[in-house]
Amino acid sequence: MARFPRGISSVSISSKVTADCWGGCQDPGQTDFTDLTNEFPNAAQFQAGEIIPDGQGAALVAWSGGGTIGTTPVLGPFQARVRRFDAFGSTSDYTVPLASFDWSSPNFNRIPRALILGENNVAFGSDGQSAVAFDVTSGTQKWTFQPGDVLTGVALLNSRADGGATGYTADRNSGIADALLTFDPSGTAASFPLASSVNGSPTSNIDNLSFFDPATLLATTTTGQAQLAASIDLQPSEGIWFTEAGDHDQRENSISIKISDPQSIKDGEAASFRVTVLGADQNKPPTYQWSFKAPGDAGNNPNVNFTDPAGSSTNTDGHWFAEPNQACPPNAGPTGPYWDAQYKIQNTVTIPNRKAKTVKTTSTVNAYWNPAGQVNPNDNDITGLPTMASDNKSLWHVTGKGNLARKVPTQATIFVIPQSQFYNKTAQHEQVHVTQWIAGPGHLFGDLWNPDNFYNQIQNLTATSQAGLTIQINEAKVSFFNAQAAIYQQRVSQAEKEAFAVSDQIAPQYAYQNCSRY
Amino acid sequence: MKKAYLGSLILLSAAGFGQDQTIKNEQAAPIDLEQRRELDLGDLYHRVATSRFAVVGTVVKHEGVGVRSQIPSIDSNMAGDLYTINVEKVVCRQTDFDTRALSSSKLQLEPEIPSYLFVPYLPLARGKEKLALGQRYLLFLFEPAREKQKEWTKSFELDPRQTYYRGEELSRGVIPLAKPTPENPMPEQPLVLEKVTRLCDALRPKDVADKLAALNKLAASGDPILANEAELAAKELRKHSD
Repeated sequence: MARFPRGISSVSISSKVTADCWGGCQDPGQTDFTDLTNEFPNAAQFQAGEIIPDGQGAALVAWSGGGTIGTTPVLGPFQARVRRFDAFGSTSDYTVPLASFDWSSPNFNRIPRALILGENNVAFGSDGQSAVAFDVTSGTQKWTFQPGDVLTGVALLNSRADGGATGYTADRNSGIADALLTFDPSGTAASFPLASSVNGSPTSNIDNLSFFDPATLLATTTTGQAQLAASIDLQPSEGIWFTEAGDHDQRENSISIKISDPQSIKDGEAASFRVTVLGADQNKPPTYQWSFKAPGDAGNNPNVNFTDPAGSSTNTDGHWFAEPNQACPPNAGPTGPYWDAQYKIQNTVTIPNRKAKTVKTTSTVNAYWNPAGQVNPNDNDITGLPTMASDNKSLWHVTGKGNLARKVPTQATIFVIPQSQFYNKTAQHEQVHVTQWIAGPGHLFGDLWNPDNFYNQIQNLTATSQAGLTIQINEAKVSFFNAQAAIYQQRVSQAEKEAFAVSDQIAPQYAYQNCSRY
Repeated sequence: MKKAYLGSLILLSAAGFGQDQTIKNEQAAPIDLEQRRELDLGDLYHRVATSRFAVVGTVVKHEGVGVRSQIPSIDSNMAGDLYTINVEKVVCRQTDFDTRALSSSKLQLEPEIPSYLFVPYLPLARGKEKLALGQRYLLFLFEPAREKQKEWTKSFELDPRQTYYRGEELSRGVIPLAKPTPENPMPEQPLVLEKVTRLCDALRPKDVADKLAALNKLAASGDPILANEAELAAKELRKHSD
């Protein structure tokens, strides 16, 4: 009797449901069957009803139960109930205020009963006598409907995309439908009387109605004929599940497809993206296809490589592209146009028997490094001390160069990450600067921080103690540094011109070009 | 060679405890760069008293900082070096040395909270701080005046919500430490760490009388360096608590 929804098999349901048991039965939440039976023999009555997806990856189980031991109620009065299993197997219970207090009241057994998942966390239930809309999570009643005529019952057909539902009214004794019903999300009903014929069968009343496909109703007549009828605009919700037996439709498990949030990475870094599909049938897994989009007029060959182009998750590389397509950056600042290359990352998810769906996110690849590298002369120095000696008047003199030595940059610091397409360009640029510090002619800074020049400045210093002379030498080092730094600053423009002459030739010829600055 | 610090000592003594006065320390004294920092046991009291914090930490990140609003051109708009320090221990707080309660929220610095040491590129100067990525240090962190911080964050690509420190007396405030390893979880550390720790421990009690008692104990410890620093600290405390 219960129609198991597709995709429910992944839900962990730790409790059991015992169907159609009269006396000595088990509460669906009770796993200790033996104890309950022993404790309450011939006591309460339980009947299992339909099981449907709850739209959140788990299930709703309709059941009716209650009763007394003698005069003592067990589980309270007999009620139409729902046990909700969440995605982790936890349960909660609530009652559904059906008119008969029972999912399978014998008084309306010619009219199909239903538990249907609607939109917006609402479910609909009917016992043949009434229809109720209620919150899936809490069971809070949204609306109820009961035909005014006691001989008329109500059946549910489907949930609607707008949050309402459709159904029909039917004779309680014969089950013959007499009018279609639509319910808006607040439960306001509209009735559409049915003709006593379908497509030219004037003598046969409609016995039953259900969906044949999303646009067609299947009508069964009292004479046993089956007819297809174009439906009224019933706005069926997405994912209506059509039962093979021609019974009333049930809604397919709600499927949720989500893609990772937008990601921002630096040029050369990797990003990870994932598509999560909830509620799909495990036996019919989705297929995935990753793709990307970039502006058509972008330069520097926009491209995204996916490590697993057909996987539910994938890694990508980070390749900055130029938009606008120009070598020189139009703007300063670490983000925004030009520095941020924004790809659309998309995945087309194909689920068997469903329309393929494409979900999208973005990957922003930033190529801003300011600075990209450096060769820092702040650490330059004249190291060591000259030789010192005192004369016969105890006056200390500088007597030789001692171990005075030149300390200048011998390596660069590259702030661009090694994986970036701009790393080599930057490294080659900085290598030019390192070379400029090699001592001797032919190198732009080869004459700076020359210990011989420093020695010339201190060779005539004197002091009454060696410590005093050392202080003077250290002070002279500061003065010497400042003088050399001033010369260095005057040559910076030339130094950059030489370095850009090399790095400008190296691809990619974007973002870090000279652009006529030097 | 210790006399090489004489010039800076005079400056520091005149500076007292206030934040604004210590800005003078942004310029290096004609210090002796030849001396290994871990062997430098001079002026401990003044060095910690003029530092906002003395911490043990490791450099976890080294970034270049550019000049704000200038289009990058590889290296020609260098504003400075930014070092992110993962602080594992706060050895000293400047508040420990002050009899007046400094309650600025900016004084909060706790272990595990990164702190930032920024070394401006210009003016080119001798003796600036230079730290190595992954290296563990005892750092005497000097907090430049608010105006200087504002100037930095306005001109350079720095976060105005952060506080950026410098080394006290620039490179003198940057002392390399040995890093514990699985093979050697407690490596021998430079003496300066132990002495600064003991001096700071003595100054940590909130009550001035307790501070003085701890300092007197330290003065009588038999360690000539600590005795000298403790006496100096006690003298300063008495002067400021009068």
